[in-house]
Amino acid sequence: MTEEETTPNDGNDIMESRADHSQVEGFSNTQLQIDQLPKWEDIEFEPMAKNAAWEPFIQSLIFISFLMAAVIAAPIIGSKSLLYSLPILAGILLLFGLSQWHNFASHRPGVRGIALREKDIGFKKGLIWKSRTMLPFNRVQHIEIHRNPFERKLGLSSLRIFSAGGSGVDLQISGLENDRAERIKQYILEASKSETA
Amino acid sequence: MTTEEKPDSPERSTVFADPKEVGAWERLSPISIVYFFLKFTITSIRQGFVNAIPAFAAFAVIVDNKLFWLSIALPSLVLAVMVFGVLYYWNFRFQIRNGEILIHRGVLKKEKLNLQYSRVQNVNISRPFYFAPFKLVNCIIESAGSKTSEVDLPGVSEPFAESVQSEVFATEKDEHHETSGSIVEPSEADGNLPQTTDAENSTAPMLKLSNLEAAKSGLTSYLALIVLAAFAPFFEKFSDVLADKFFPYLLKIVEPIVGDKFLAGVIILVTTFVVIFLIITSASVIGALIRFYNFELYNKKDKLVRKAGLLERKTTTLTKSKIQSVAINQNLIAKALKRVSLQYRQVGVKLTNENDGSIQIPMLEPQESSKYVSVAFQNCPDPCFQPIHRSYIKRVFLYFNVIPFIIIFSPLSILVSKYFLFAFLGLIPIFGLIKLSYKRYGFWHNHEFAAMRSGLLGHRIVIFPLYKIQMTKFRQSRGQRRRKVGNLTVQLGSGVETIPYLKSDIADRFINLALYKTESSNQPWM
Repeated sequence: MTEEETTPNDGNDIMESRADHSQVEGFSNTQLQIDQLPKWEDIEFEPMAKNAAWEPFIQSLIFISFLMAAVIAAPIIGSKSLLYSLPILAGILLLFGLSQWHNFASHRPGVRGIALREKDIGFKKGLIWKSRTMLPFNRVQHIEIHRNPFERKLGLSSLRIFSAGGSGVDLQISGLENDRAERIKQYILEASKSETA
Repeated sequence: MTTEEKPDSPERSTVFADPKEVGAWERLSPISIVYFFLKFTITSIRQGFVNAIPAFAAFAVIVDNKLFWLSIALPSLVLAVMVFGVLYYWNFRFQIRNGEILIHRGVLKKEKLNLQYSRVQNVNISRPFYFAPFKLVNCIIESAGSKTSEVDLPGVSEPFAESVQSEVFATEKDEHHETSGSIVEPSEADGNLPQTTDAENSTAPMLKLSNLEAAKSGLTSYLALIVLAAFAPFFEKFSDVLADKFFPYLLKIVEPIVGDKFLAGVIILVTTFVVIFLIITSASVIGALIRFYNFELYNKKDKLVRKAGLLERKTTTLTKSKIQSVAINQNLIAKALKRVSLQYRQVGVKLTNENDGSIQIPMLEPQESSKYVSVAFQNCPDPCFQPIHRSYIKRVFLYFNVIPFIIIFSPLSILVSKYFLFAFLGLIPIFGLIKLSYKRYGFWHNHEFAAMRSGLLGHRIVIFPLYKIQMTKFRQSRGQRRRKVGNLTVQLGSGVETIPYLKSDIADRFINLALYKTESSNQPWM
């Protein structure tokens, strides 16, 4: 007997065609119609919080400020003209501009998003390299919410989901509103509990 | 894990624990002092060596009478470790009580451990050679998910270790029954069919590897090359000594025989390298023999048992349902020997590590591998791999090789020397290697299993049941989206596997199926 017969359908619509009734009572071996399974490629992802891009922006800004201060301070300490620093400063600002254009563009709705289904969570991200990750609830080992000082100020949270076999956090979803992150965490915990019960 | 349990019954000293008498505090056999001494010596060398480098440096620079102080320091260190081993043995007490093992141990840092059977991942039994005359074994209890929570009970009787093992496995079975409710129907994916074959019931090993094969496996490991690379910094010093001391001496002997000084020099040099290589290779072969001596694999109903080892005969037991994937490897040397190695991997096991409960068959004929895959995953057919998209060759060559070469070597050839243009010739072998890796990549799946193949000169195949998948990821660059291909990553309990440039429609169908299988399965995956 295969797994398909012993397992209830659990809301995953038309999984199997029941065409082949067997001759032997109690045994069947129905064919699985892969094309009729729920399609992950059709999932609609919900956008992140509106201010999600500001947290990485602030972090980068602080780093860039220190870097620029060092570049300005270096010629002063060495009794050289500030003109030496100008091309480096221009380069740093250009890189910062480009990275922040990428940061804001990659947080746009449609580019980055999260999707909850009955039995799994999906996350997509990336502007040039687009990736979509799916993690079934019954494989979740551990889940935690993380807030750094900037996230706390902006009312944001990062959701960290751990499963087995990874080298650390398996799925990190940053840029969620606090209450949404809490709700998702609760939802996943309850769903994973009922899955393993 | 740590509890404040106190010994609640009078202590008794026993040579080894009696499996029938539970609930009383037991001591290990005094022979375990040898085990503790060796263990702490190895730990001290491993951990203490790096930390002691400043002390060594100070010793080398400051201390005058080195030999004298060394003759005092070394025996003192050995004595300290011996005393520590004795005290560790003296403080070590354990008892078995109601499905749990309580352990009190430690010298400076006292530990009170409470290991519940339900938390135990595996129980392995090993017999170091110095335990053999006393018919004692080391019972190694691994708790789930952590390498540091391994507990050794060295110097216990074999029946006792086996009773712990069978009790743990019995608890494990009950747990699985409970977690999966009434549906513990074995599926074709898992291979835990109730009907056991004659082979599974018999006590004869399913595979017995000859020691010649075990020795051959030493050749396939790249250990020789790694050791050679590790000693590279010393080669200069070594060659200086060789050139100053031995070379003229050897030249005097060889030159009259061959009659030419240059030829004699070449012969000496080549012979020296061959000798060094042979010594290192022999070390690798001896290492393999120590690990895989008298290798036996038993296929018991729901378990795989591996017994091997020269100095320490180790018995590793692996519950079949805990196997996350099977990896088949063949490197260039193994290819020449027409052999593959096969590894049954469980949660968190690195591919090259066999010390944490996975089982490796070091040498197998390639045509036999499917038989051993089906031991873990019954009804898993031989994979029929689909190639990845051809654009892999062009894009990897262009974006990760040609463009970086142009960026680095064009300015160098203009500004420094035109000879840097010759570096572009390096692109020819690189192209060949990329083409080879393209040929190795392959992906296959049916409704129950999937397999991924990769490699360069050799190959590596990872086979796994779909319902054991932990996470899926599909990643596409702009160019890949245009070509409707992408990189598929599958996370298993045993690690992450990726296949690049897979057609999107194949990946989509696979992910939909994998999610369905994972989410609808009631089988315990671990």
